[in-house]
Amino acid sequence: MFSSYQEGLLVLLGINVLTAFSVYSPLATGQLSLGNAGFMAIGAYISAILTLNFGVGLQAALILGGLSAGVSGVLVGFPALRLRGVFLAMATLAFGEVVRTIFLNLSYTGGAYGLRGMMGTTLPMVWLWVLAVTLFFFLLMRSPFGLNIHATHDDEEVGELTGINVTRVKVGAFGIGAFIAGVAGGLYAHYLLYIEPSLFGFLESIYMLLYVILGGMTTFWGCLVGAAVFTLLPEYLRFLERWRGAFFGAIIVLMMILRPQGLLTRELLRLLTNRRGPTQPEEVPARVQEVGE
Amino acid sequence: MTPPLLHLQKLTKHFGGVLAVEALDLAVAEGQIAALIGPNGAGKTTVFNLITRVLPADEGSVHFRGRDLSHLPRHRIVRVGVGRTFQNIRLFATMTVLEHVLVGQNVRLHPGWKRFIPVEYGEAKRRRAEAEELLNFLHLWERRHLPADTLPYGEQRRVEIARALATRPALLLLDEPAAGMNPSESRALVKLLQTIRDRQVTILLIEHDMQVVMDVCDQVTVLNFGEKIAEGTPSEVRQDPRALEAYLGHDA
Repeated sequence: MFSSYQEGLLVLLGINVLTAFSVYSPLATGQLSLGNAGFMAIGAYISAILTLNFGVGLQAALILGGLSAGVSGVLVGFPALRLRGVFLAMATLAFGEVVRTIFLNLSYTGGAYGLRGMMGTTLPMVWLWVLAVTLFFFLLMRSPFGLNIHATHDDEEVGELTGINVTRVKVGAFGIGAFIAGVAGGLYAHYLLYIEPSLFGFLESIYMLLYVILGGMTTFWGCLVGAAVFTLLPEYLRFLERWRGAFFGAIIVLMMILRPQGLLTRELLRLLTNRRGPTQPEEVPARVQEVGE
Repeated sequence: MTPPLLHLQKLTKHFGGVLAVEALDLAVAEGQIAALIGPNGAGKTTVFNLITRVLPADEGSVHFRGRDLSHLPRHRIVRVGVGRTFQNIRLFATMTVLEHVLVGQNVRLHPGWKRFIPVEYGEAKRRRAEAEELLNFLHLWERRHLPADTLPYGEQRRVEIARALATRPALLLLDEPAAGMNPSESRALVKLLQTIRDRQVTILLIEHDMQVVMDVCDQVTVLNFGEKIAEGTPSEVRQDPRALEAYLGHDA
């Protein structure tokens, strides 16, 4: 159906969508994580060790890799989420580098050489995961917990005084993000056939963030749009050759000026989907007494 | 005699060398509308912040229905039945009016998997109907799908009240609900406060609009420099020389 070049691109796109979701999850509660490449590395290495050394099936290995990343996310989350803004960004960035350095120095995982011989990731498998995660966010963001996520993002203190256990929401969202990054890492490892620590540098984390911000961080659909546009666009810009990077950078700067909220926003979605817009007059239910003006 | 719903004893708060609230004793009985008044900087909002644990108290205690609130985490305060609004309106910037009410209702959800079920299905339908009823009560029903921070000022204040009421509080703390309202809006507010009380909600409000205080309150406490200087019914306080001097003196 697809050429191998197209297939490779679509696999990569699917994995990028997943990593975008992994950043979106904490970001939706107002927390900037720059350490998701670290969680991705944990998922990649754990799942690779499981399939290579213990003969575990790929799907089980992906889930176990994701869980390992998720648990480390929760463990890191409790202390880290006391920090805010740039301080949290720095702490998570440092965490990502620590993870990378650990794998670099661990002889069991092959040090700088890494691990080789993992295989089995297919295009439908990647997109089934994308579908599952998209469906998960679709349901989550419409649930009471999803509303609590929005409220935590908008004003933590007022959220607490409205009864939200903000710590649980933040750590939960952080852990969910780490799990998804771990699964993405596992898929990546078994697609590339090899992994090494340098694949999971902090630039990877920056790219994940870029997908979310450019796609639109007020709605989870932005992850799909952002990852799609910014995985495919560089391919279409190949004709620019050495100027490609500069042109790509210029596009990002322009985007930030013209659409700082990202390509897709909740307001835009509301306009597109709200059938009962405020333009149509509605019948006001009967009122007991006059209270308003 | 039944114990008061809210009981503050020797409540004290310093900010550095400044005494914001000094050994404040205050009791609010169930079913009352009580007011906390005093000049700017008298420590009124600090009292609210101490009750809701936005700030830790240095000394003294807050009892609600006989239960000590001093060691509860902030998010539990609403669960035991204390809702509040804010002096400078604080709405959730990305949420619609209806969503504010739905978030407030979340407090009453049982912990567990039900929180993860999308709001439009199952028992959530009943919650939604309840939310719309509350919005209709506050004359916000037509606005329910609008982003809350695009509404005019008076309506934003009502959204805050709606969010707090959605948690079904036994005690509602209102921080200057009439601020920025014109006389006809204030009169409507007085009516609203009475209807809220009729719904079995006790109210403690901070207010500068003396007309509102005199019209609606059963009990008034006057603070000045963190200290209680007078207490009583509105007419008693109106004749208290210390209260007049500290606060009412300017326009009485």
